[in-house]
Amino acid sequence: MSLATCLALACAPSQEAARVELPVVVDASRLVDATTDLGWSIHLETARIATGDLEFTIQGEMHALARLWDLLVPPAVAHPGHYAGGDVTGALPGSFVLDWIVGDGDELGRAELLAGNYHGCNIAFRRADELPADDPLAGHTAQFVGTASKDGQELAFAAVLDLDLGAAVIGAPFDLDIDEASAGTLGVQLRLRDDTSGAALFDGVDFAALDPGAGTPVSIGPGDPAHNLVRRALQSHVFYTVAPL
Amino acid sequence: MRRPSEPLLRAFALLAVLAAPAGAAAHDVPKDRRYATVVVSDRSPRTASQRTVGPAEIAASPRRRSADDLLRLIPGVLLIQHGAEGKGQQMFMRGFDAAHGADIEVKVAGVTVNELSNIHGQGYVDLGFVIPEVVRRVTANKGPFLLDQGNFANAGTIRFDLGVEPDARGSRVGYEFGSTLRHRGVFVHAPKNMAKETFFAVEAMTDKGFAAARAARRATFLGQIRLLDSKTHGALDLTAGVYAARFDAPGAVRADDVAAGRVDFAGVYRDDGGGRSGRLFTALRHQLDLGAGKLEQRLHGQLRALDLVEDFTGYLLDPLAGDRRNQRHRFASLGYQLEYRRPLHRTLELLAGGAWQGDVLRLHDVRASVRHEVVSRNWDLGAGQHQAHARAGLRWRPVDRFVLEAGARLDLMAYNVRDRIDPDRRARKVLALPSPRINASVRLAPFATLFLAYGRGLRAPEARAVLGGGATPEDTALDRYRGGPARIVASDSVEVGTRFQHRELVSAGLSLFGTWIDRELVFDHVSAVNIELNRTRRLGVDFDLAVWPRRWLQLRQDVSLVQARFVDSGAPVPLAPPFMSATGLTLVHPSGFRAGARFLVVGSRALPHGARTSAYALLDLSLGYRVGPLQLDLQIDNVTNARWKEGEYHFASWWDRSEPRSTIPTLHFLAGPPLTARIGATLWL
Repeated sequence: MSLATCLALACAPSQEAARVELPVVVDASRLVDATTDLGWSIHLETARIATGDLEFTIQGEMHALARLWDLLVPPAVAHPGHYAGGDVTGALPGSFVLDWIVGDGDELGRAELLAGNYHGCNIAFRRADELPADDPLAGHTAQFVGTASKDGQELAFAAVLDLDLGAAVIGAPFDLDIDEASAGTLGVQLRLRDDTSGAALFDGVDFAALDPGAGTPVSIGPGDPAHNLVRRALQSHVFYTVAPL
Repeated sequence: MRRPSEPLLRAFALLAVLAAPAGAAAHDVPKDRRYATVVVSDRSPRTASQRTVGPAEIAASPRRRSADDLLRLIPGVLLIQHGAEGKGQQMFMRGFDAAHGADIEVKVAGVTVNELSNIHGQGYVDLGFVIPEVVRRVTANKGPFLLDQGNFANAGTIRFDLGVEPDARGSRVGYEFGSTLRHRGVFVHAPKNMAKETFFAVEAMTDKGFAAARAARRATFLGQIRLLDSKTHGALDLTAGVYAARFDAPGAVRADDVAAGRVDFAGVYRDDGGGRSGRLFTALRHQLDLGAGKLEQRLHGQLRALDLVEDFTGYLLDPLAGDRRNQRHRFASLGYQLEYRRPLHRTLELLAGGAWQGDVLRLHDVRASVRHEVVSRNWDLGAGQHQAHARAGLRWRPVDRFVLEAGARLDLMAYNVRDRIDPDRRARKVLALPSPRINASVRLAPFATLFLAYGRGLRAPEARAVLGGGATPEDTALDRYRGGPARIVASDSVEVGTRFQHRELVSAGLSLFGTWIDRELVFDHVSAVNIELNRTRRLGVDFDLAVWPRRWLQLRQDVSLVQARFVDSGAPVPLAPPFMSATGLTLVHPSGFRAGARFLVVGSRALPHGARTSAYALLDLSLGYRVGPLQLDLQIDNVTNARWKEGEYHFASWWDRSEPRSTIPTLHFLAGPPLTARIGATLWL
């Protein structure tokens, strides 16, 4: 009897984790005008970011205190015998240009996700080298065009940002329980201001000081002090969300 | 011509004894000097789950290629070799994935061999320097219930006592040949006129392995001599060993690649993984009667080297150079132990002790190219560390049937860590943890005893964890979890159990145990962060039954059931085996015939992210016969030639760069050895 029980128990085969595929789209629903710490109200007419892989992470059994911060989640357990609390368990590999104005609703592809309780999304930045040379984003990482208004003054601006190889947003909020039956669409959202922290994407940029005058738009590009301010903010997770639509 | 077969036939016929009523087993002790009883009668176990494996069971056990394999004789211990023989095994016990030894304390000749801050794994245990022929006894104390159980004993402590029993003393030379082109020679000299502690042993082994990248070689010298045995000055034993080994490291293969036929079941992606291990070990033990008290002190020292090249992830982390990791660990230690016992009263005994060990370490971890050149340096640390403890307790025996042992220990850890990549990074830390321990036994009847135990176990952090997380880029500081501070992980365990022992006929033990860890700290060496995990709880049952129908025959059944869970989520603790069963037979007959059999069943284990391992069953056999000075042995591992996965894991890898890179974990495994056989001959000189 015990032998039979043992043999029956010993017949269980390996079992892969349950996984689903969900479409991922660009979602502009959170991209609304916002005011910076210097009082400039920002309105965007172009918002494009060149990205690489999107990775979706679970927190696993990391202690709740860790959730006070967002997590740097290792891309893999580099030694199979050692347990790591959180992990990348979903991904949408590829090269994308996320366009929150013209491309709102565009499908980026179908992400593959293991069943689990998701808490974060990592977004890898890249340079959009594949774009035609006359595209303002060509060779750069992000492009923002819009207006900044303050005290009745309205200034047009155009910003192109370069991020270093390997730069990424780590831990953009993505709170969703996913199981084998999960369906629906995931939207990648960008916002100009995070209400929780009060931080805004263009914080610290004094558009008036950058105004060349004569109606020429304010230009922000690599090498400018303002570029470094916005580049730093662009890597902060607080301006991104991945949410079910 | 007919004579050799007669004892064999007689021995096989003895199996019919199984049908004989146990009550009729009046043990008639033969006078043959070679006779060795298989009965291990531990008259005063301190906990219900204490298990002692005696010399006869060790000598007849199947699958005894190395001292590592002797750990398999402990009920509820699972070993997984994810390198080749010679690399430290991954160990599991009582719901703990102890990795290479992080939660199982292992002592050899009284010296803890877990390596604090080993670059490859915290508490790394390498038993390659122990020659199985000179292991006299293996004792397991599950749970952290005894005062002398120290760092890493969250799941328990396993002790190897060295020596050669009187019936096996003398000089012998042995040679073993295996179906994996294994050659192993061993010479043991244990002078008959000296104490059982004295021996000299030399071993050399080479093995091609059962598949690619499984080769191993080692050479070992291990000796122990009683230098002094005096009533006034006590006994002085010197143990010394030298060990060198080389081994392959096959890595794990993706299950989907095997299913698609892209890789063989026992295949490898790369054949350049492997390592070297070396150790110089010495210990000087002094035992002395001081009036009514007993003093034992030990001075010990080690030099240690471990080099490893491994790759489990292909090109996932580095698409160009690949993810080979080259680790180098250098370690020198010196330690001193003191134990003193003294009766204070007719019913009361003082138990006191302490220990100190100081280590100097150098740790390297680099990403290496195909030519094993350095691509990037992950770690290059110099560290000094101290482990010390003091303990005191009382053993109270008011009546013959009741024993209570209670006390506490205070463990101290001190680190001084220097980053040699960034000399500005340096950390010092001192940590302390008090641990109460209590165990009690009540003899309910002449053959039945009830045990209760509580204890706090501990695991010290590794030097890298003390140094803390890696440098965080200034402009992303807010986005990164910096991890918890390095601290000692404490566990609280209880055990309630009973043991039934009827003379030398039967012994049965049942223990219910629980272990709770409030917030475990795991150092993740990829992100260089101390990851704090949620509360865990391990609840389980250990059952063991040994029957000795004759003094030369033992039948065993061990069952371990564990539910290891995270308390809040209810998710299983990854990799911990929830079910293990071992059915065994040990036969050491006075005629010279001996045999061992073990049928092991390991239930399916939870992997991270909802995946599960396969379950498996293995049957191992050993047969031996001694005629005159010649001992012949045959060992067959995996008799049914089961196709089994020894190690299974769930992580991401990228081996085929023509396919898209994916960071999503998937099943990987290492094939277990198929049917292998070893024949051996030992000549007693």
